Amino acid sequence: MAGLLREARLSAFRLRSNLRAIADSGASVVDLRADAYGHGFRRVLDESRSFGFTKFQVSPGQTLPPGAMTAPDGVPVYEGVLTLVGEVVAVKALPAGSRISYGYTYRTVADSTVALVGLGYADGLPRLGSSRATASTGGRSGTVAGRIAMDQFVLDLGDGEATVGDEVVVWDADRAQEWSALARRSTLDLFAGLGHRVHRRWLDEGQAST
Amino acid sequence: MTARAIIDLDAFRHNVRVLAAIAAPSATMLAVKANAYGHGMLELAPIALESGASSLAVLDIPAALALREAGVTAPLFAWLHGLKSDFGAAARAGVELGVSSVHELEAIEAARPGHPVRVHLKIDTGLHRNGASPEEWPALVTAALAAEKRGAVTVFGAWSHLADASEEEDAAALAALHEAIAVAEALGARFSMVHLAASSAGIRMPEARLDLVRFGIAAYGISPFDDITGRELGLIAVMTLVTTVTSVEAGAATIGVGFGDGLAGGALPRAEAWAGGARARILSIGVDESVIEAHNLSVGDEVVLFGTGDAGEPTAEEWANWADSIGDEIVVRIAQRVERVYTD
Repeated sequence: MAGLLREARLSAFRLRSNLRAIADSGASVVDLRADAYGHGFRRVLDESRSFGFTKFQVSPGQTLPPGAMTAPDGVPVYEGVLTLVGEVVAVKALPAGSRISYGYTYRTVADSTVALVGLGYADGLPRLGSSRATASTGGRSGTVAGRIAMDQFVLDLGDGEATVGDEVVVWDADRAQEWSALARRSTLDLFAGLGHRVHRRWLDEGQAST
Repeated sequence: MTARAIIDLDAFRHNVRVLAAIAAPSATMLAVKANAYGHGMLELAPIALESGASSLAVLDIPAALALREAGVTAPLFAWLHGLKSDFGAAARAGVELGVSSVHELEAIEAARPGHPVRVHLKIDTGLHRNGASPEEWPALVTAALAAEKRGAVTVFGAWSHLADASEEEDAAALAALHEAIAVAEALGARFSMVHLAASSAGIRMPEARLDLVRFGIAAYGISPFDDITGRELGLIAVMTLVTTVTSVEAGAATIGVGFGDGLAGGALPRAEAWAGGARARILSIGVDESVIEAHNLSVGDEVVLFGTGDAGEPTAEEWANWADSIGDEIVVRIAQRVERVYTD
């Protein structure tokens, strides 16, 4: 990669446990629409087939290999699979009352460390998360400070710290719910809206073989 | 037929010409970041350069490299960098770099560029995103001048971003930029290119045009203001999102577009489409399909989600209003799976 870290980390372990659970529940169709809701059609298809699934709900334009067929009423299998990670691009120490981002709609309530993060609404972060949603870096949670821009947002870490290059977790299983509520969109809608600049990376976590 | 985004190249050409004329004698840099706001960077970049833009703003190095690979030789400006950003590749491709900190300068020099890389030093004039604070600025300028002496960089530009908060705030930011330039000049810097304004100040704040205006959203035909439309500014919306009716039931029709195409679910319950020569309320938005309130439609009829507004169809600006957003987000979120159809 020649550029910024913008990564959707996908847990093969979580996907497999979800697949096992829906297989046990008797469901027989996996919902692969919208590029498996941004997770990547091919990988989710392959994992599903390895659990014996042969029927899939697909979007127009998605073609299935021989031995697989389309069916309605697929079950989504994406709970907790995806973590969206960005990178701290700049860090500033700002006095209380500093105004941040377009329109100056946000003010720091105390002396604060703020981190500029290289993800924006072009990457799929809903602009409705501005000044309300949270993200974390180094285990420390912060609030999105002011308006989310096309390519970046500012994270108010209060009395916390950050260093350029630190990873920022924007969505994990819990935070995706929070962002989704603020954006008035389902989490599946959120994931399907991940932009083309976000690199998808599957983590195998040393569990069952691929 | 599934959803398609029709990209009107002539409208884009028109907008760039209009904006370049407004900016003149200042130069025009056209922002084609984020895949040209979802319109297609490789397709639109040459047209921008033919229509009055003399350089392109790409955000980051990978986008600049993609343009170079496509044969674009014009100046390219990239300013958002990470720890793994490939400054060596940027230097080889002749990409001009925005620099906000001494550590970025050091990383550029450490990449052993082989020839001086043009840098634009960024001062934070209030937005508190990137850029050196007034306290950090002298050290950044001094470090850049030292790197210039060693042949690693050419100190070419000085720049900032406006917050577009109010006339007074933007005037204060402009004053802060001038002040930073005076500080830098006292340290021995001479800038060839000073820039601050994007679409909104480029249009409404002549004193902020300086050497160059970085136009983005306005070039795509969408207003940067909330009190006037792109149409009223003499701009033409470049993207029209269309689909067709896939089935009809009593009083409703299903259409082939959904949130999987990037349609903004947050626009409900106010969102409308244009179908059968009238506005139709959108009742629900699904993954691949949505349902509109409609009578007398047939399977295969065309439905416009947003466009220029010329025929009465909604605009991206209206969608932005419905979704409590801005037009930029409406167009840039249109998904990759939506085919872009270029018309001239």
